[in-house]
Amino acid sequence: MIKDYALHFPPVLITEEQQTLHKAVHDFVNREIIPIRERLEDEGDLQQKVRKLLVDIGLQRLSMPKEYGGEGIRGTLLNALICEELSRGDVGIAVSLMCTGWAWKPAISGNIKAVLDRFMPDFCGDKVQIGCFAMTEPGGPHGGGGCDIENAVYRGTKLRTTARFEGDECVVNGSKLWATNSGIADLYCIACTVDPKLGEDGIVLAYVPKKWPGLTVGPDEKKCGLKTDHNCPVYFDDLRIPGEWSIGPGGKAAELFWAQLPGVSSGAMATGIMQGIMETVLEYTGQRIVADKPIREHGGPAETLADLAMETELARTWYLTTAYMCDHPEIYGPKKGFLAARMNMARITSEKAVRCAEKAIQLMGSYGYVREYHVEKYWRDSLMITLWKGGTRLSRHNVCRAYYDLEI
Amino acid sequence: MKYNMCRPVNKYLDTFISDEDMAMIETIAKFVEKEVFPKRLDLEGGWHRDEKLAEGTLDDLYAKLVALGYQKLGVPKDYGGMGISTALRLALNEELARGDSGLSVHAGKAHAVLGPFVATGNVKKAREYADKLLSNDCYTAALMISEPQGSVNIEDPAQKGRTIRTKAERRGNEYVLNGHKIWGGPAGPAEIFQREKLKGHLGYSLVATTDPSAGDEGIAVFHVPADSPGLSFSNYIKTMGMCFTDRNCEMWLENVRIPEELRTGGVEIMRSRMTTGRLGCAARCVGVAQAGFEIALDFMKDREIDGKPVRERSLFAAQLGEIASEIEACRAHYLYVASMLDNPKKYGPRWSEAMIARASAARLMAGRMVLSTLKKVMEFMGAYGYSFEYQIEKYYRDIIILQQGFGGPQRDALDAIRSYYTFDWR
Ligand SMILES: Cc1cc2nc3c(=O)[nH]c(=O)nc-3n(C[C@H](O)[C@H](O)[C@H](O)COP(=O)(O)OP(=O)(O)OC[C@H]3O[C@@H](n4cnc5c(N)ncnc54)[C@H](O)[C@@H]3O)c2cc1C
Ligand SMILES: Cc1cc2nc3c(=O)[nH]c(=O)nc-3n(C[C@H](O)[C@H](O)[C@H](O)COP(=O)(O)OP(=O)(O)OC[C@H]3O[C@@H](n4cnc5c(N)ncnc54)[C@H](O)[C@@H]3O)c2cc1C
Repeated sequence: MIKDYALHFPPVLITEEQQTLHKAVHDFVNREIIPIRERLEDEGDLQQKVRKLLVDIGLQRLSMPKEYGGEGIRGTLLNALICEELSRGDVGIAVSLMCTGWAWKPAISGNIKAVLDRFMPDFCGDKVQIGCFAMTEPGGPHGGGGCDIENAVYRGTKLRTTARFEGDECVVNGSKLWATNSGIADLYCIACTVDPKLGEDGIVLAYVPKKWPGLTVGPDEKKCGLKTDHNCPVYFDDLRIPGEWSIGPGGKAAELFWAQLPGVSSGAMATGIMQGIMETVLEYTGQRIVADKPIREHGGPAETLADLAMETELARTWYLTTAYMCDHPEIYGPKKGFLAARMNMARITSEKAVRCAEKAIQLMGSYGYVREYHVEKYWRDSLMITLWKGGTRLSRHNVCRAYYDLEI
Repeated sequence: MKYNMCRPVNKYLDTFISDEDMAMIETIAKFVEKEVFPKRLDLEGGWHRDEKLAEGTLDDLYAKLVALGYQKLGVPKDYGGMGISTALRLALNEELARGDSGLSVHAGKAHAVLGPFVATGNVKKAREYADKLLSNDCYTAALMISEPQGSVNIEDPAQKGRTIRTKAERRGNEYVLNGHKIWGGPAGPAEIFQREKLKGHLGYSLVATTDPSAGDEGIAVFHVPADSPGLSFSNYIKTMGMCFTDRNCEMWLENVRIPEELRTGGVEIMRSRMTTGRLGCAARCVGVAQAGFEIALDFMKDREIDGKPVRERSLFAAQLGEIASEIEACRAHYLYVASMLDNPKKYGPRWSEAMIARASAARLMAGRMVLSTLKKVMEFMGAYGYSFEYQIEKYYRDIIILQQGFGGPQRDALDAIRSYYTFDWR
């Protein structure tokens, strides 16, 4: 038996309203995702079924603007709580949902009417609609891989996907790699540039619906984990969209681009993974007998379990407090300086998830290595959180920038 | 404050710390930079461990804190004090520890005896001690849990106090105490605590048992005045850190007679100590790590690798970034747990298994974090980190006991996990 209060400690800093929603998502995950989590990564139609259930419980439209039929409930903290809960069940599902919101963020924050009017009503409807924010590129001799693009030092000069304006059209050429939901998305937001030399002044964010002429996709990448999140190359070949579906160059484009980067939700996802690991391993070690008593009643394993509990609680505190700060700009100021540093720190906690998974696998012996026992999947999935958005190494550099000038 | 990120307003989340509280933190932070930083090494009597210098420095700094109102802060409002929140108390512990963790521990000692009187509703006695703390005189006091045969067993909730050997026997309206304590500090003959800048020792909050076989029911906490007949002490034990800021010795109790009104509760009071004590240690660990981190930032700015400051090299920046993250995370966590402590209706009383668990986890990670931070800083500073003058090695020596006291990391871990399932060694 696992003591109930330990697993369901009411988080500090959340309002009653948030608590209610949090509880609903928590129960949803226990009911709909946990029982099928093992099959989810291989079965596309099961994934689609879960996505539809997310629409049914209102999560797809939750943060969308009210005037288009959304709930208009935006907030970093609530978003992060949802991320934690979904990730406890399956982090890929959480990533996929979050990236839909991610793709929409620039259009919502920048109030890009043409994009909102045309596409938003569908996203607020009853059907599954998926968004994709495509920033990462393959890179090459000029560098320009994911980290370079996300490296603030390069100020957008490493982008190679171009936007050209002809009359009232925007013409996009180039290719993207790795973006979550690529291939299955209904709407893409593509980070491009009118001229890399212009740096931030050249950045353009272009919205493109699926199957648009000039848009093609390659085969899915074969990844070691996070399989419920789909990634494939996306190519743009003289792709023409109405100019009003794009943001920039100039204006708020660069600001909106950088605003996409820091990741409280990555911290929340890592926490969800750790919580999932905790629950799984507590149960297993409570049942498996070694040297005449359950594993977890031996002092050594108990200490390891305490480590997992400690890291989980710490990671939760971290994303909650940081998200809370993001939600109170009147106190904590714009997401620059120390707030940006904190968000980067949230990224770093994701490394703890990897370590927790490893420890849990050790505690479970060979069973930990086996699919049916779930923990190895958490391990495979958790690795990815440390890699995306520039990876935890760049996060560390960004943390330093809050303390001193750092040009590497 | 050299680094904007290190200013109190950027360190303490203002949901947990009000504006008014922030002003208090600023005051103490300034005090630390102005008064404590120059005296850090004197607090252990310098390289030659000069006892007079150490004692004089400690008394002087504490007197200055008292003049700033430090002693009044923890006195509950009902008794005319400031009744500060747990979060503020911890933040102040952290700030003082940034100067010297021993001073930070010492500055909290005087309160060891007041809390139990307040908690058990002994208004008369609480008022008596509150009035002392509210005066401008400087006091100290101590907590006596540890015993020579093994303290962690005493602190282990699974063992329910069965290993306590200090006995309290009831006779009429008195208790007679017999036993052998160790480590609780500062301890010693009452008169040595009457010094130019120290008015006296307020006594010991001491854990005993009325009946070891009764388990938790037998645990009893007593207020033992420092000049009680029947107390005797050993010489001071030579420790690797906090050499003078926390003076430790053995204490024998031989038929020490304590009036019934000085019995201050039982197991709940003792377990509350685990929660607040460990959380206090967590805060101090964060303060020390912060100090080490700032020293490293300064040092690595001025030293270069192939023409560029060390801290601007990616290898080092990544490690500094990680240290900063861990410090911030441990800080956020102790504040978070503190806010739970101040809301017992929602989260349970401080002696509850759940709150002991939260505090233990907070200390466990802060303890590891500070040691790994200081070790890294030593690496970054090479031989300088190893030298007395550069402070790091003293921070390192001092901080070890903040990880080990109140049970140590293994106990922290087990207490943390006890909130998930029953762990009892059986
Ligand atoms: C499942 C998944 C989902 C994803 N989702 C999205 C998405 O939705 N949208 C999107 O745009 N992208 C997405 N990505 C891409 C992801 O953000 C990038 O892969 C990531 O930023 C790393 O880029 P890269 O792989 O090109 O690594 P590279 O840029 O080649 O970097 C490799 C390594 O080099 C090191 N390094 C890099 N720069 C520096 C430096 N300046 N100093 C020192 N070391 C350095 C780091 O250790 C880094 O990890 C996703 C990827 C995956 C696998
Ligand atoms: C500078 C200093 C100041 C101190 N201040 C005080 C004070 O003010 N008041 C006070 O009462 N004490 C004080 N102490 C004592 C301190 O709290 C104890 O030393 C500490 O709790 C460890 O107890 P111990 O040394 O008896 O070790 P033991 O009980 O012998 O334990 C040693 C190690 O064995 C393991 N262990 C033993 N039993 C258990 C168990 N049941 N569960 C898990 N692990 C176990 C742990 O690894 C533990 O660290 C102080 C000590 C020092 C050095």
